[in-house]
Amino acid sequence: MNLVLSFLAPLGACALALAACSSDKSVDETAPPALQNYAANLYGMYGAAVTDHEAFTAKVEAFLAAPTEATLTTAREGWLASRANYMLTEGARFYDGPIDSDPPNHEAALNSWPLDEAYVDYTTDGTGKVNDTVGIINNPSMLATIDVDGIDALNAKGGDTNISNGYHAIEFLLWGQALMPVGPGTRAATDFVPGGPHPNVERRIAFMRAALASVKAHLVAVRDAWAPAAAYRTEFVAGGGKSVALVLTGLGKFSKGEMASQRVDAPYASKSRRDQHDCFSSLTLTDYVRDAEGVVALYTGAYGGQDGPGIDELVTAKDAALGARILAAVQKSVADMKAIPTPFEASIAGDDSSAGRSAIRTVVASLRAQGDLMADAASALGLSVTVPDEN
Amino acid sequence: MSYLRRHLFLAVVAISATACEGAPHDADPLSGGTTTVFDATQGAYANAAANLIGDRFSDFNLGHSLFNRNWVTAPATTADIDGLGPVFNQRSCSGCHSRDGRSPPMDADGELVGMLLRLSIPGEGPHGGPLGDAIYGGQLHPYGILTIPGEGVPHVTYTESAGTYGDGTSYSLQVPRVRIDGWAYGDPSPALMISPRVGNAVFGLGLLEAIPESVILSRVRPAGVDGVAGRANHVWDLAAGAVALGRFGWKASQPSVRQQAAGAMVGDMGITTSLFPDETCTPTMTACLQAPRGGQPDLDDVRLASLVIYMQTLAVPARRDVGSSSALRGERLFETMGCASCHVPSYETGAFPSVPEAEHQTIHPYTDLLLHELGDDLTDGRPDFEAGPNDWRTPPLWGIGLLMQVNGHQNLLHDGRARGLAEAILWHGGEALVARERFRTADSSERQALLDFLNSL
Repeated sequence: MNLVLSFLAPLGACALALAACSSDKSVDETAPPALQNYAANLYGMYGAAVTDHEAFTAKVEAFLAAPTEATLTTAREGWLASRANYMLTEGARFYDGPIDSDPPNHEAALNSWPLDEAYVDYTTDGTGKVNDTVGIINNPSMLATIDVDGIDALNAKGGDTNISNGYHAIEFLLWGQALMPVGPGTRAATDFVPGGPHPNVERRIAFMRAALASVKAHLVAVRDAWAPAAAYRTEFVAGGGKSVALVLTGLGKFSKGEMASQRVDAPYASKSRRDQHDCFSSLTLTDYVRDAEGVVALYTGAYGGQDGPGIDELVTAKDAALGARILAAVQKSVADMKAIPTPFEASIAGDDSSAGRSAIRTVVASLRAQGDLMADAASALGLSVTVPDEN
Repeated sequence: MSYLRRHLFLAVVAISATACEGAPHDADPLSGGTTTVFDATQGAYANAAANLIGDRFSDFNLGHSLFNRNWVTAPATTADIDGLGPVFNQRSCSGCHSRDGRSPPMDADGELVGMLLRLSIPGEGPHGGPLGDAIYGGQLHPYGILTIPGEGVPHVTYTESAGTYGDGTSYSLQVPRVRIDGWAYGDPSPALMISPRVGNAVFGLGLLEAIPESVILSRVRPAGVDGVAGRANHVWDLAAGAVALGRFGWKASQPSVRQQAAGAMVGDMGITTSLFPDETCTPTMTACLQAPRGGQPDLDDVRLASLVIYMQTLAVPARRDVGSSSALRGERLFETMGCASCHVPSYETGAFPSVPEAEHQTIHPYTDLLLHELGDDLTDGRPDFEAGPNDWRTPPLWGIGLLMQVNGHQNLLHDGRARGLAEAILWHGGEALVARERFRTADSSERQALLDFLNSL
C-alpha cells in the first residue's frame, strides 16, 4: 500500500496539475536549448549519413566497373562504414517524426528487415539447388524496368518481408544468402559479370544502382526535414514539453519495443539466424552497438565531439537521482551489447547456459529497463509517455 | 515493479483526463481495460498489452516475428521458416493483417491482397461445418510454389448503387461481383458458392476470449419488437473434440484464437500445425500432394503457442477525444438508434488463467459475438455450422477509428465493400434494418455525431 501511494501521489499530482490540464511551463521554458541541440545533432547525423552513403556508392561503382573479389570486399566494407551515422539516429523513430511519418515512411524504405531474399533475387535451397527464376531481378513481369520508383513501389507489397529497397536489399546484393549456420553470405563477384553463372546480370546491376539511389533520396529527404529553417524542425524546437515527450517516446520505444524485443529477443527466442538485423553480412552486433550508442547521443545531446544541452540535464534538474540512474542505464546498455560474443547468430544458438545466450539476456534486461526509465523521465518532467513492449 | 508502475500510470491518466475536462460523463479511454495502450500512430494496433506480464514478453516477441515473417518454399536453408504452400493465398500473416490491422481487399492493380475467397457447395462437412468443393476444397488459393499451379485467378468488380439519406443527400454503395477464371485443376462443382472475406484486425482477441460464455449466451434471444434477435454459433473445437461456442471469424465459426490462427496458417499459407497436420491439397491435386514438405508439422507447438500469446495480448488502443461533445452525442445516438443492441459496448471479463492479462477487465469492444441476420444485400450464400447464408457475427468496433491511420483505408464489412463507416452502416439490413433506417433518416449533424463517436474508438 505504501508503494502504491508513493507512486500515485507524485504522479497523480503531476498529471493533474501539468500534463493533462496545461503544459508544464517550467519544461517549456527549459526545453528549447536541448531541443535545438537534438535537432541540430539529428541534422548532423543524417547529413553525415548522406556523405557516408556517397562514399559507399563510389565504392560500389568501382566494384561494378571492375567486379573482382577485391573490389567486392571494398564495397562490403563501404556498406558497413556507410551506416555508422545512420544507426545513431534510430532512437528518433516511433513518434511519427520525419523519419517514419507515414506516408512516405522513409524508415521503411531505408532499413526494413528481415528481407525475404526470394523476393529480390535467386535463392539456394537446403539441398544446394539453385532457383534462378525467383525475385524481382529474374522476373520482368514483377517490374519491367528496374528503377527507384519501381523498387520503392514494390517495397513491402503483399508482406512485411517483401523488402525491395533500403540498406538490407543492398546488403543482400553484396553478400547473398548466408547458407551456413554461422558466418556471412558468400555471393561471388561474378554475379555482376555478364555471362557469369547466374542470369539477369544487367537487372542485378540495375537493382543495385536503384537501391543505392533510393537510399540516397530517402536520406536526403529526412535530413532536409531537420535543416535549420525547415518547417518540421521549427515547430519541433518550439514545441516545449510536447517535443520533449516525443524525444522520450522515441528513445523509450526504440530501446524496448524495437531493440530489446524485435532486434535482440525475437531472434533469441526463435534461434533463427534469419531473424537478425544483418543476416546476410553477419554484422548485426556492429549495428546494435551503434544503436545503443545512438540512444546515449540523442539523450545526452553529445555528438561530433560536443556535449551540448540534452534531455539528461532537464531530467537531472528535476530529479538528480533519476538523472544519474538513466545515464548509468544507457551506458550499461552499450557495454552489455559490446559484451555479446560475435557473430550474433552464434550467440543465439545453443542452450540457455551458453555465454552468448546469457549475455543476450543481460542486454534485453538492460534495454527494457532503459525503455521504462524514459517513461519515468517523462513523468519527472510532468509529461506522459508510455513505453510498451512492442511498437 | 515496472508492471505495477505502468498499471498505475494508466489509471492516473484516466483520472486526470476526467478531472480536467470537468465533465462527469467523459468517455472511458481504456477500451481494453488495463491492457490499453495510448497510441494513435500507424503502430496503434501493434502494441503489447500495457499489463503484459514480464516473463511473457519473450513469447510475445517470437509470436510477433512469426506473424510478420515470409514463409518460404521447402526445403530452405533455415528449416524453421520453410513449408509455404504448396498452394497459398499469402506468404505471411501480416500480408493480410498488415500492422496487425487489415489490409485493403485489393491493391491498385486489382490483385487481392487482404481478401480471400471461401468455397463451398450445398451440404454439410464433418461436424456440421461447410462442405468444400471436391477439387478445390474450402478456399481458393491463387498461388502455388514453383511448379505447382495456383488454383485460379480471382476477380472482384463493382457496380454502384445509388441511395439517398432522409434529408435528400445522395450516397452510393458499391456492389461487389466476384468471379474466378483459369481454374487450373478442372471445373469446380456447378453449385459452387464463393464467399469473399477480408482479414480482420487481430488485437484485443484475448479479451474477447475472456468474456464468460454465460454472458455471451445471456444475450441469445428471439426477435423482439425492434426485430433484433441473437443467436450463438456452435462449432467444432478440434483440440477438445467437442462442440463449443463460436467466437471468432466473420461467422463466429472458430471457438478460440488458437484454432482460428492455426486454421489461417494452413488455409492461407499452407503452414501445418499439430492442430491441422495436413496440407490443403485435395486428392485430385497430385503435384500438390507430392511437393516437398517443411517440418512435420511446419510450425511446432512451441511456436504456435507463441503466435497465439502474441495475438491474445496485442493491446487495444485507447479511445480518443473522450471529451468531444459531438462524439459523446454520437455515443448516445449509438444507443438510441439501436446500434448498441448488437454492438454491445461493455463487458467485465472473467477468470481466464491462460491469458492473465485479460482477466477481470472492464472492456468496451462493441460486440455481442452473436450471429445476426443482416438481409439479402449482405448475403454470401454460405452456411457455416449454425450460421445461415445471411448471418454475420457482430464485429467488434474498438480501434475502428484508427484504421485509416494504421492501414490507410476504411474498407469495411466482410468483403471490404464499404468505403467508410457511413457506407458500412447503410449496408446493414435484416435485423439491423430499423437501426439502419434511423441513421439514414437522421439529420446530417446527428449522422456526423455518430461517425465522430465511431472515429473516437
